[in-house]
Amino acid sequence: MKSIAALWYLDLHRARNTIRAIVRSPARLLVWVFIGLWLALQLFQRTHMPRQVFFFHDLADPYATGIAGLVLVLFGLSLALQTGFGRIMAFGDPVDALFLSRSAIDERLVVLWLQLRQLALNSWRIGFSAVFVSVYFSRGNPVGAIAGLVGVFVLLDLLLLPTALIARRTNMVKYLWCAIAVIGTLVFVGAFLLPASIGELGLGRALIAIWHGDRVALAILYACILAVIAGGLARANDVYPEFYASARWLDTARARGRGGGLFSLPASSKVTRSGSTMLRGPWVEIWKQLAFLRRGNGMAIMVAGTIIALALGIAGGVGQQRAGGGFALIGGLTLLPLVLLVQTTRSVSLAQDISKPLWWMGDGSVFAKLAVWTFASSLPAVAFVALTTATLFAIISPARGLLYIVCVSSAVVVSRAVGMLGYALTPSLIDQRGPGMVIRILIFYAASIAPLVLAVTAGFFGRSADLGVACGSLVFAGEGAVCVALAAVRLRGRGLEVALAESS
Amino acid sequence: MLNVRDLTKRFRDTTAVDDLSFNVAAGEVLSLLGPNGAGKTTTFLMLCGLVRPDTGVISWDGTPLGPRRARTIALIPENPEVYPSLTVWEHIVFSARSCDVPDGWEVRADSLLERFDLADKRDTVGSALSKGMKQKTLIAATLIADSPVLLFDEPMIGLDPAGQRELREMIVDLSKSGKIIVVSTHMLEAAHALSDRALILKAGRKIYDGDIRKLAQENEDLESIFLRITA
Repeated sequence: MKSIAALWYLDLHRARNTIRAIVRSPARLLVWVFIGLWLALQLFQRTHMPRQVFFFHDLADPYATGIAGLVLVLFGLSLALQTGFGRIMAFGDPVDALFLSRSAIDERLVVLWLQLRQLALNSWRIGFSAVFVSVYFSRGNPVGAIAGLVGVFVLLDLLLLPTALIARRTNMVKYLWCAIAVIGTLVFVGAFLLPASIGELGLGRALIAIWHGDRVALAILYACILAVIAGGLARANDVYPEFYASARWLDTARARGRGGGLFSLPASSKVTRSGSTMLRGPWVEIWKQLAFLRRGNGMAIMVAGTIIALALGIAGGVGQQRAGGGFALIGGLTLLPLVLLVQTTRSVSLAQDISKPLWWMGDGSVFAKLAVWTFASSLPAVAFVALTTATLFAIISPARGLLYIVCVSSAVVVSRAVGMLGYALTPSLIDQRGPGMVIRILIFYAASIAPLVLAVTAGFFGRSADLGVACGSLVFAGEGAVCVALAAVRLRGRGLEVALAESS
Repeated sequence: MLNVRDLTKRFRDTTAVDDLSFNVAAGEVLSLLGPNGAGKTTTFLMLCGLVRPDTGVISWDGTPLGPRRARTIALIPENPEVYPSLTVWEHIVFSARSCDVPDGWEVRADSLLERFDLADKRDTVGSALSKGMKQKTLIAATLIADSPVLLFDEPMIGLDPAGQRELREMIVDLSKSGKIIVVSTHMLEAAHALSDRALILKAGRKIYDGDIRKLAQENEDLESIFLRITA
């Protein structure tokens, strides 16, 4: 009980002091209250008045199995990225390792606490996703659908620690999640090319059952969650060396800046050959981000991403040729929003750069520096969607490929530009994970309206879908530039202040 | 008595610590010296269980210590890391509660705050503290747990002259009370002032373990001694 009380004391007082800091800042408090109330209202509306828009469980094979395959791809890639190919992302800070390693608290309790803390940190993302997406998955049983979605997200979060703990002893587990992503790709491809055999696996039906709020499916899902928690506890011995290493690893990643995000995490401390660049001024940021990517786990992840992008592009292209009827359009409309959603939920951190005079003294305006940073930090996602699009159009219509590559790439960069604006408005990482994430998504939605309207109008009057897409993308890119410009205005001359606010 | 035998740690192709052995008696202060990259910090991290050694045994009073040896051997790292949203006092409370310190520690905590000039910063959160204040907070939170062995990694860095003097006096007091102190430092004068015994590392290997004064040749200052030995 004393151990639980000590951990409770830590979390309670950290939360209390954070809340106090938010309450003392009227602007931050307003954001938290407004977004909190709005989310509560949305939850009430969606659980009491489900809209009849689109229901996942109405889908038949091969679409249901294909989407289940996509979910597996995202599941596997997400876990592979978050565990960093076997790294344990348990402690966000080395101070945890320092204090807890010398405590009298049982390691199993520490691991359980870490699992719960992981859930608490992601509660906004889980809650937001459950509230907004659940309504599309169930007709008449939104509570069951929310329980199913929450369960899937919780399982995703809880799997990280136990598998990483198992990965300490074997090299096999670290590639497990990549294997799942590849299997998901094969299921997605196979669902459309070999519908009869893959559909019989029942993967699509299983997913539909969970998202429809089926009681048996939910019982199995939550039993899996309990088993994962138990698995984590069973492996909880002599954990501090790995926890400390992971905290140090994250520290290094933060020092490198979050531009590359998880892609920039260092693979090893081994010294590599120094490089050079012809790039000058703010463009050097691209070279920096690519260097992080080359020396980090990003390169291995990029190889996996390339294979998946090629497979998705081929599946879309071949499917379009065989099935026709806007098959590639449906695939693209499923994949691109998912990539954009992931991009938009990513936090931005510039403290390592803007707190130093060197960043401000360098060539180029603040706008140029932020714009290049926005582009450079989007490179992995841009490469993924561009490669998928290029492969798809190489099969169905090579002449139009370039237009669509530019369009999807600009959408990805704009989603990051929205993140940059969000950072300028609420630099605190706590705020960015909480209401800031919702604000970014809402800004992105709002920014999408004008380009969509213009695309439809131009496409209709010009009698050309390509013209509509080109016009819409141009406006969208312009809006992205406006977001970065507003961020530059807000950040100019406030480097140290914003950098300090990041940790508040 | 802290007994370290055949401690080795390799990181891929680099041997950070190579077959290191030494003893430290109760009440003794040992200065761990060496150039950058000599393996001092890795040694400390292995001693307190935050890095797993490849080989070697760490014993306390003849009993080999397991993975949870941080309860016996407490580290105060070079980079003072504290919880950004916890106050100075809350760090001490958490340390006391998590280490299951017997009742009555509050009086000792108050005196530690007074001694480190932290009393007026008692309710200040970690993110608002200067580096020196964070260092003092971490030291106070460590001392409240009353571990028998204390490892100070470059403790003087970040402290003002008054703080450095206070820390030196406190280390001497702690050693007099029977605690084992190991101090890693580049400040040779401080090492000399704190201890008579020095253990010098170079490229992970022990190159000297003995009386710090016996190192000196005629008219040779500490800096020259250090540079000569580690060259």
